[in-house]
Amino acid sequence: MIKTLALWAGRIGFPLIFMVALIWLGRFPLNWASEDGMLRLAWRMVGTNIRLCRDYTEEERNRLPKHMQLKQHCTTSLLTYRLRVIVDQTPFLDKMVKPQGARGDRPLYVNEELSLTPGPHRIEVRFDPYDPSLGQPEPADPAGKAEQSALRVALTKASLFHLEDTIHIESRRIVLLDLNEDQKEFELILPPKS
Amino acid sequence: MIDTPSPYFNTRPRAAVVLDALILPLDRVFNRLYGSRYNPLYQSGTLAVLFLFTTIATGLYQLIFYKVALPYESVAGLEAQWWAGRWIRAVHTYSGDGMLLAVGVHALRMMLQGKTWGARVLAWISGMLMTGVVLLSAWTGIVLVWDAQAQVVGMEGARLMDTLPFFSEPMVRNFTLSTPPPGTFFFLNLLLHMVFPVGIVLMLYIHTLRVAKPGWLPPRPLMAWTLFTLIAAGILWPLGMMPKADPFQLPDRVHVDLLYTWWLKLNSQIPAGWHLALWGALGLAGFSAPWWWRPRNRMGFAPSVNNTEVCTGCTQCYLDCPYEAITMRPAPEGRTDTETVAEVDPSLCTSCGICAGSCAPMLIGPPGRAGRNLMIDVQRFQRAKKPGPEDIVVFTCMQGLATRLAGAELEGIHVYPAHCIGALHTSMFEYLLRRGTGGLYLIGCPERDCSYRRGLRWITERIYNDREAELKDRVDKKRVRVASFGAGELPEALAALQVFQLEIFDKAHHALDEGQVDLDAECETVLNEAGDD
Repeated sequence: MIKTLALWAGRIGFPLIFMVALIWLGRFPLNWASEDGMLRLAWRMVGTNIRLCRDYTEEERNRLPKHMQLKQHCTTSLLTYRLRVIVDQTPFLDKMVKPQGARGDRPLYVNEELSLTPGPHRIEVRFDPYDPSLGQPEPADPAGKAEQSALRVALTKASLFHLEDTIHIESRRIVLLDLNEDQKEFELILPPKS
Repeated sequence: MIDTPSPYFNTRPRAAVVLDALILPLDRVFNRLYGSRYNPLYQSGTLAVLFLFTTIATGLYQLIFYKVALPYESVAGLEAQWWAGRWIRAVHTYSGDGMLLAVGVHALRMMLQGKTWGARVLAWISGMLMTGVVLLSAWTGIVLVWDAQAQVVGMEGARLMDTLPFFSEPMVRNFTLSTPPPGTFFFLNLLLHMVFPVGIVLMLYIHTLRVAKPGWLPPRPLMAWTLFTLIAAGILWPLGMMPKADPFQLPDRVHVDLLYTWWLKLNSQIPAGWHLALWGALGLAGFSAPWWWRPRNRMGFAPSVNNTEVCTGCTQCYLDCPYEAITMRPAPEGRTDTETVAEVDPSLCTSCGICAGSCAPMLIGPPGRAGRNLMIDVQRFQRAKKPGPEDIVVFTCMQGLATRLAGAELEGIHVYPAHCIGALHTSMFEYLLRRGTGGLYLIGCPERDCSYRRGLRWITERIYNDREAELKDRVDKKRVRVASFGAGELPEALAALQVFQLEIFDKAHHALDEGQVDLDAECETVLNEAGDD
């Protein structure tokens, strides 16, 4: 009798324990310990083209199909940008933002998260085109010179972004910094009042 | 014979012992609770399929009400349907969790039984692929709700994905805007969440392609009991709604599905690249198991061969093969007595030897394990052990109880280890009984825990129901007993053996040694070749 009872208790008990375990694992409370808030820098920028063109040689042109025999061969890439963030006069971030894509011709994406203690913070954010030729000797060969010249043209056209402001960080809230490429300025988006 | 080194146990990966210690005691408990037929651990593969179909069915209902433009609100609407949507949504989640657990147990069992290599590679690789797709599908499903869990899981998953070089726009951007992701994002997610399960079902077909008449679903009582438990849990413990995802809010305490998102906090503890490398390593380990988890010595697992010059074309091996590795081909030139002969496809053969047990003329079988070879072996066994009228010979699977039973060293009980119980030829039993052995006890593995398939079923049919290669009526079939015990059920097997031994004592006077045994003509040849005394 006791054996049969124990058997049935086991038969019914196992699915019960299994389901309770499944429910517990399926809604496991995960805690994030930090009380800090966050400044999130997140934007997409189409960027500035570096267009480099050179004339085809006669031999190169003849190798191409008729409909592709243009006068010039052009390649397009995008300028690399440098992102610098200073919070409360302390440098927080300094990094190069390269255009996406294997050929570097896709937009630039920034997604940086800076954890900050609750309270007011003075922030300074700069997003400027990066000139890789700085400090380098002038190229002597014609190809190098053409590259240099295309870079210069792109640099003069490129937008510079700069923001200096004081933000108030709340516990576990996110202040979003976006970039408006048309207006050529940063956009600070504060969280709605909780 | 048991003194002969087993081609399997001596060559199993060493870690199999760890799995044995983990799984066999649990098997024993569940066998006692539910019997081996309904043991949920044995049925882990079919239970995984049942859970999959349940998630698909419950997902279809939710699809009717889901709106890509209002993801959170539409799920909240479902949750408000106390009469259907609420528990259907919970059942969807619980069965998804159950599926992952069942898949994990199933994979462990397959490793324990050495079903990762040889003809089983296709099943193993497709199983690994399905598991990967299940994980991806779960990710898309969690994000669809667009609650606090969706935000955390979506963002961390996207961060992980972004370390791969082929996204031209980072996926994480969907979660870092000041507004919720656009409807197109949820539409794409929904599409993937529907396409993935369809892919899994297709892969399930490939997964079981090399198995004859595969059983996809568990036995009906187990199926009904599982569905009842799921629905009861869904009604009693609905999921409820978490706060809506807020792009300006950092997580505090979020309830997550740990089975699918155990990796969530790794992103903040190790660089995303390392984290992805960890997944890569796990995937690589899983996919490469057919090469690192296989017997070191695979000589004992050569595929079956047939002698087409003598094959009678009876088709029994073709009918019995559990892996559809045997086809009937036109007989070779010059054969007039049969139109077809059996041919083995070595790439599909798992070397179970079931064909050897099904072949009346004892022709077909793995090298050294055809009926003729087994007959010679059983004669040597008889000469060496000389089992008397009060003795029992236990035939049992090497991958089951063989070594454990032999280790027990019981008086009057002689253990004959078989590659598979279904690979034994009934002439072996006839020979032993007619040479004065008291009784034969055949222990096969439980049907769903067999290293091969259908061995126990076919041997039972051959002994009691006149299936071809049958045990002849001229022997007393009451002196033969067939049973199934799992590898962890030694005490139960010993108890059953003791009962059988008492029965045999009572019949001992019936057991006579006929000396020269006059088996069928084919067997006679074999016996003469072996030099019977």
